[in-house]
Amino acid sequence: MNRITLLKGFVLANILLAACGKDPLRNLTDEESRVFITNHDRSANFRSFATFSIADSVRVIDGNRSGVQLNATDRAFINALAAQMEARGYQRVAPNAAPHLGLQATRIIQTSTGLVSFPDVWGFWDPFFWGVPGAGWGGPPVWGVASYQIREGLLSIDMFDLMNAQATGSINVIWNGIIRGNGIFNANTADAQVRQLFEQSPYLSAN
Amino acid sequence: MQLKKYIATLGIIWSLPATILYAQSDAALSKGETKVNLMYSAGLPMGAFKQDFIGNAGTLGGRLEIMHYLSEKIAVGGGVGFQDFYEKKPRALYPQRDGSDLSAVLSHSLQVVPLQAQLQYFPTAGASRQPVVLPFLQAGGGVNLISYKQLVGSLTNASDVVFRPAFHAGGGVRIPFGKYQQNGVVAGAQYYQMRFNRLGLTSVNQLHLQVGIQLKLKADGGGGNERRWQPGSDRYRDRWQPNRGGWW
Repeated sequence: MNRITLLKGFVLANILLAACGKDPLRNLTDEESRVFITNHDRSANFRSFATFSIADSVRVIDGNRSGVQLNATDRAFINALAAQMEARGYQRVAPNAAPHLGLQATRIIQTSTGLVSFPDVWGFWDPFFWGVPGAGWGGPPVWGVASYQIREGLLSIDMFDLMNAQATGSINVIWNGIIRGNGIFNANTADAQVRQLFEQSPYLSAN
Repeated sequence: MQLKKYIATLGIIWSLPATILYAQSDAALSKGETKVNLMYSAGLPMGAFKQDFIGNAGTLGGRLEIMHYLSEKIAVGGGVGFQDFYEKKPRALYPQRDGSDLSAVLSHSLQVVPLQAQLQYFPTAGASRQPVVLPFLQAGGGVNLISYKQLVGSLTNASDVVFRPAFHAGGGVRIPFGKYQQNGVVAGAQYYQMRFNRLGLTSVNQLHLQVGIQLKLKADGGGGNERRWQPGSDRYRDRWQPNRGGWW
C-alpha cells in the first residue's frame, strides 16, 4: 500500500522542502538590497574646503559607451547632493566661481561577475569643465575595484579637490560613494540614498 | 552552557516515560522488522554557528529514517534529512580592509542534508513489564551536504555547495499506536556535529528537535512475532483456530 506511497510522498516532500528553502534574494525589499560603499583620501583635510559645485548632468557609462543625461532622477540626485553638502557647511557656487570641491555623479551599467574593476570612472569627465584644462585625474589606485558581482547598474558619486588642482596639475578624487542594489535610479529615493552615503562619512564637514 | 541546559531538559523528558508509563505492551519492537520513521524537524543553531552566522531557529525541516531491528533493543539503519536556516541582519556599517566603509543588510542562508548511518538502542525494550513509551538512544555518522549563501544587500558575497562529515547523537521516545502497536509516534532530539570550514566558521553544529511517525515496513522472519503472540490477538486468529488445522 500505501506505505510505499507515503514514502514516495515524503521523499518528494523533502525535495520540495529543499527547494523551498528561503531564497534570501526574494526576501529583500529594494531598500534592504542596497549597498552603500564610501571611501576617502585619509590625507585630505575636508575642513580646508569651503565651497563646492556639482556637475549639471549625470554621466552614463554603459560598457564602453559614455554620454550625459539629465532626467528627473538625475536632477533628484544632484539636488540631494547639494542639500547634503550644504548641511555639512559647504557653500554651493557656480562651476566658474572657483569652487574648492567638485562633485559629479556617474551611472555605471555593467554586467559581469567576480572581481569588478571600474577604475578612473571620473576620467570620463573633461577637466576643462572644472576649469583645469589639460589636467589629469588622480586618486588611490585601489578605488573603483569591487570583489562582488555586478549584474546591473550602480551609481558612483565622486568628490574631488579643485582648490589644489592648479598647483598639483591633477584633479584628485578625495571622496567616493557607490550605491548598488535594486531600484536605485528612483527620484523618490534619491534623497535617502545620498543621505546614507553622507551618514557613513562623518568626516565630510566644513566646520 | 546552553547546550548543557538542552541536554538536561532532554534527559528529563527522555526519562519520564521510562519511569511512569509502564504497562503491558504488545509487539512494539521485534527482531527482524524494518521500520521507517517520517519526521518533521526544527533546528536550533549552536555555538559559533549561532553566534557568527545564523541565530534564528530553522523551522523548515524533515527527516526520513529506515531502521532494521537486530533485536528488541538494537536497530541499525540510515536516515536522510533536510534543515533550512536563514537570517537577515539589520543594516550595519562594515569597515573594509581597503579602508572603505560598506553599509548593507547581510543575509545568511544555510541548508543541510545529513545522510547518516545510525544505531538505536532501546534500553527498556523486552522487559516483562515493557513501558508503553519506549525511550531510545541514537548515534550515527556520515556525510552532510551543506548549501550556503551570504548576501551583502542583493550582492552574492559567497555561495557554494559542499560535502562535509557529520556525526550525531541524541535520544527520543517511541509511543506505539495501531492495532498491534507496531506503528508509533516518535519524538526526539539529535545534536549534530557538522564540520564546515567556510566563511570563517569551523562548524555548523545544531540541535534538531523531531517528531513524526514510525511505520512497519516488513518483517524478515526473525521470529519476533511468534514470541509475542498473545491469546485473543486478532492478527493470529486464523493461525491458531483448531478447526482450521491448527497446531494441535
